[in-house]
Amino acid sequence: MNTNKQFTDRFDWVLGFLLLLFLIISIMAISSAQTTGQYGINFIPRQLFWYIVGMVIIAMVMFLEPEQYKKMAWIIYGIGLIPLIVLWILPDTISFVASRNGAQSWFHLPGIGSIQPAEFMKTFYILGAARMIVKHHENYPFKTLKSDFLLLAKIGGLFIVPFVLIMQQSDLGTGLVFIAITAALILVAGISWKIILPIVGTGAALGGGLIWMALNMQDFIVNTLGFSPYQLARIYSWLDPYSYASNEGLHLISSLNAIGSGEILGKGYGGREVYVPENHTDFIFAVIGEEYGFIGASLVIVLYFVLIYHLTKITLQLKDPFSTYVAAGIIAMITFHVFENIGMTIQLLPITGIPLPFISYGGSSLMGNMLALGLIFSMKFHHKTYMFGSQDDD
Amino acid sequence: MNKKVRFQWGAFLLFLLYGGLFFLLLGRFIYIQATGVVNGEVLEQRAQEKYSRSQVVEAHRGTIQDRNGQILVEDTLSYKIYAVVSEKATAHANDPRHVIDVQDTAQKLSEFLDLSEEEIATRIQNGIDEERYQVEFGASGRNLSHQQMKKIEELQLPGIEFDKDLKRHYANGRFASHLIGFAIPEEVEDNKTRLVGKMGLERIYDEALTGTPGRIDFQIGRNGLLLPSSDKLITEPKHGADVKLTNDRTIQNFLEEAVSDVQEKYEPEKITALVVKADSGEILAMTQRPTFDPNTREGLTTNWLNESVENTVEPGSTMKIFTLAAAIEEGKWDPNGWYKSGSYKLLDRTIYDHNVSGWGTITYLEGFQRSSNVSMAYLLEKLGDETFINYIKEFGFGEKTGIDLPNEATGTISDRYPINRLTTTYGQGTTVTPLQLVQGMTAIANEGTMYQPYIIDQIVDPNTGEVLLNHEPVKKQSPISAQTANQVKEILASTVTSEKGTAQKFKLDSYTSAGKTGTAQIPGPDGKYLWGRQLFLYSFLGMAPVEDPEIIVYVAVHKPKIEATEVGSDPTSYIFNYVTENSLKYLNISPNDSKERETVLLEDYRGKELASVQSALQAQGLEVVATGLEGKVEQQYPAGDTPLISGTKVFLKAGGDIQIPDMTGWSSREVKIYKGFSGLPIEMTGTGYVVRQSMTPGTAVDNTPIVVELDSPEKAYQQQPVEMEGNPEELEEQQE
Repeated sequence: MNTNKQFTDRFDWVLGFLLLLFLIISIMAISSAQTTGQYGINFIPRQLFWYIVGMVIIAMVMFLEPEQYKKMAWIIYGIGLIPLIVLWILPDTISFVASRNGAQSWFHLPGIGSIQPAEFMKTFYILGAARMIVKHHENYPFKTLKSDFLLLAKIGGLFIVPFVLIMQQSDLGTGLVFIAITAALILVAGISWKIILPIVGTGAALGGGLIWMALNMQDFIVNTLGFSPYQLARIYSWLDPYSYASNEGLHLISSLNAIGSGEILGKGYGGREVYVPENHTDFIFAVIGEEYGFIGASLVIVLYFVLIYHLTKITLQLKDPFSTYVAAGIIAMITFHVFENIGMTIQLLPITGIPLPFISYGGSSLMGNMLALGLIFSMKFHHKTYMFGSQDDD
Repeated sequence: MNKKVRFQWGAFLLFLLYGGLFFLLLGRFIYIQATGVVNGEVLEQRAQEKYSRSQVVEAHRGTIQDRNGQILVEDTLSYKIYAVVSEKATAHANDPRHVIDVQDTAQKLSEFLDLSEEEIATRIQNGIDEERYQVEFGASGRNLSHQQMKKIEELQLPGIEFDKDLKRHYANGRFASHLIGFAIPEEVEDNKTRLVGKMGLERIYDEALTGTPGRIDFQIGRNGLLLPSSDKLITEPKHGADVKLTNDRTIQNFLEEAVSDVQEKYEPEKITALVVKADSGEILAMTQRPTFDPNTREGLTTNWLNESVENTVEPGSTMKIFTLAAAIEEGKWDPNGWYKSGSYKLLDRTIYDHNVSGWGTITYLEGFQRSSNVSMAYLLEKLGDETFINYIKEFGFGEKTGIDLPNEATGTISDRYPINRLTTTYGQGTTVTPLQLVQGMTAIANEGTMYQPYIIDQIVDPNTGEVLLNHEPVKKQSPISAQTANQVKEILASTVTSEKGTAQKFKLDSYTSAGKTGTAQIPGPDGKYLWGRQLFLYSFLGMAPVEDPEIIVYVAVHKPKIEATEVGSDPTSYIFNYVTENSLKYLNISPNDSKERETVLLEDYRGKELASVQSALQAQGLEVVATGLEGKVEQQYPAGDTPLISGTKVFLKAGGDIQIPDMTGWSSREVKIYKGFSGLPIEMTGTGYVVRQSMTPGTAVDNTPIVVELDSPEKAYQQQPVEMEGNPEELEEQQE
């Protein structure tokens, strides 16, 4: 499958350039975020370090072909589950399990820092699910309603294990990412609309119902359904932060103040005035919105859009079903991250602790996303000629 | 191929969805950033306020005052110390703005802070090592007084800075706590706090009470750090508005004292009590037990309800007042008519008097005095159910009084079945708020005119003096005529004076009183009424003095632990008697022989010769207190045309030297009037009546402050009865 084409032709330079832009934005935003010295640590060298680690990961991932990932998909999926299970079983008191902001989803490794296994599991899950869908289509070349149901059940089975483990860590944000990925995979897996529509309908009704219950039937939802007040507080503080300012709402209000006061042009680099907690990680977009205003925030959003557009374009060129499913999952993952993260800083969505891909400070998040992009790079790198050949066949 | 087409369609949909999401984000951004407004909040402005805490000049939260302007709640300032350790803070080497000598700083600070030299040094050193901008000293660095702060400041330690820490001070502790509520400092930004009202008036009027901080604009460096040496521009803060209540601190204190005594002695589950000015509906005092200290919030339970307003009770026999009023107004009341007490049958149900056997055949008047349920049943028969229920509604039951407090409970008039209407005549089944009872009672006290209860007198902007809100008494409908009201009042007075009356324990020493006791069964958790002396709700709704009611008092004690030798009205009468007796004395209401005493119409003496005025007043039996001993009368209190009872003090302001009078026995109001006229630096401590003063009567005045100690009337009388009687003459002698 390798061709005699040069490396320079096969490497996705556009994607590389986009990553470079994100690197610059990330460093600028983080350096602004920490001007008051409130974190006691300089995050810039660390973030640069993680970017370098991420690039190494991309290079390593690119080395293998998609076909090989397809073969290893089950093993990768299984390996990814191990740390999640360990986190679930181990008591909180053990020193390397770190609890942060109410979520017990971190390993604290001396010397390296904190690692959040769920960040990697997302990509592993995509690989496993893609592999499973492909295999299913091979086994059932003729779609029936029954086979579609079977596929759905399989995807559901694959999804539920990591999802439950992550919800066990009270990490709602990552759990939602899993749901978004799964939804995208189901949509592209070619399952009949007769099945999808009722599911989407039920899901929407359930979600809406839960929010309604959170507002009106507090006792029931906590005592009977077993939701934690920590999760409910998110909803209240989201819908009415000004009355709920003592808790999560404060976070949202400060974020809105930051972004809103940025107005059209922003306050310029280093002009940040509003203190937003966690503004180097989950709330980094508040810094961008405040310092660069509507123009800057729009540019960043457009940049993400370009990234998604580019990834979609690659996906549509791919002929290998496995790769397309993987790419679709990755696109869904990144899109949802971006939408949820930015959405929560502007009161569009409730606050959940998930980072902004490629910009937020954080090793796990960056490495996880780089891993995913590495797969895309690999597809482009290894499939180009195959794709042309295939086109000739058509 | 079919599969591929389907897939691409799905992908297209996904892409459309994602694109849509991005537009959603952009749209929200345009809304927030282009308009700069979220939920009506101007974000730019909010961001400015949040700028940096060293740039904010804190605004005071408004005070809460009683009707006489006594401060009930105010901000107190304490200071928090911190040390700037980053070199970045220092612009010029000769003007250091961060800690230079760690050991020296630690040693000097250790004298003031509750930390050892080593601990301070370690904290500072850690901050330096971790390249922090500043370090704080935990709890030991907080709550420093102004004096401590000044002393540390005098040391001129570089890098040692202070932050103001705001705290809400509730001067009287457990004092109308569920009404006033509390505010606590809340972190609104990194280390920056604001007082936020969490309960009661503090929460309801949080917006009005909260001020807008002022600003000191520094020059800002590119990196967002302050340039310490730069010029500053000060914008004055706008302090929060002051809320003035109709509440009277002294009366509230009487009430709190009495209620606490009962709480301690009888350990009831709950007590609710309120005192209302009879001729205006102004709430003079309002409290409940259990309660809490808003300073520490010690004793705060999960019950945050203001029981008088937000909760309902079954009123029990106090409701008979209104049944009686209806009967009189409709001409169905025959006090000397006879009926058979004991039990009354309505269809298949039988109701009983509280002693079950009754008192044989008695008159309706006696029936009322004995609180007979059966007498009410016959009254209802005469009245007709519909007329009766209409009267109950006219008295304001079953609907909110409209008091200026939120979450008011409505209560339900139980009138669906005949038996419901019957039990409502004696207050069972129907629920009411204590506030509704008191409101209804204003109609009895005021010759038929009902007043809406209210608690906020004024809200004043202290920056401009502008009155933002001003409440005047609100007259509601008149459910009954003046004649009826007076008749009800007399009958109510007879329940206290008659030897058959249930309210005999509510007889006051110096005043006449009228009212109705109530003993209500309390529904248990299963909805059935609990039975047993210790499981009842004992209440009393009363007023005094009967001739011209000044105050209306409602007291309810839930499930007191009464001894076998005690009766249910012991706790309620203790509260009513103590509060009413003391409050009326405090309000300068003449004791109950007032009818026999002469009333004189005070003239306007302003501009007349002091000496002649004095003798004229004394001839009328009035007591004269004059500031200055010669010249013409410049001011007088009370004003002209006021009817006065003999023995009342009349204050006159004239020229010449001032001699300090003997103020023993004076009420705080009298002291205040005197202070206003004389301009003397008089300071009052305590509440009630003067028991001691720091300067001997008759001494000439210099600028030394005169401290006057007040105590509750009973103690004042006990301690100095002779001087109380003697002092008016002495005063006059001094002035002549």
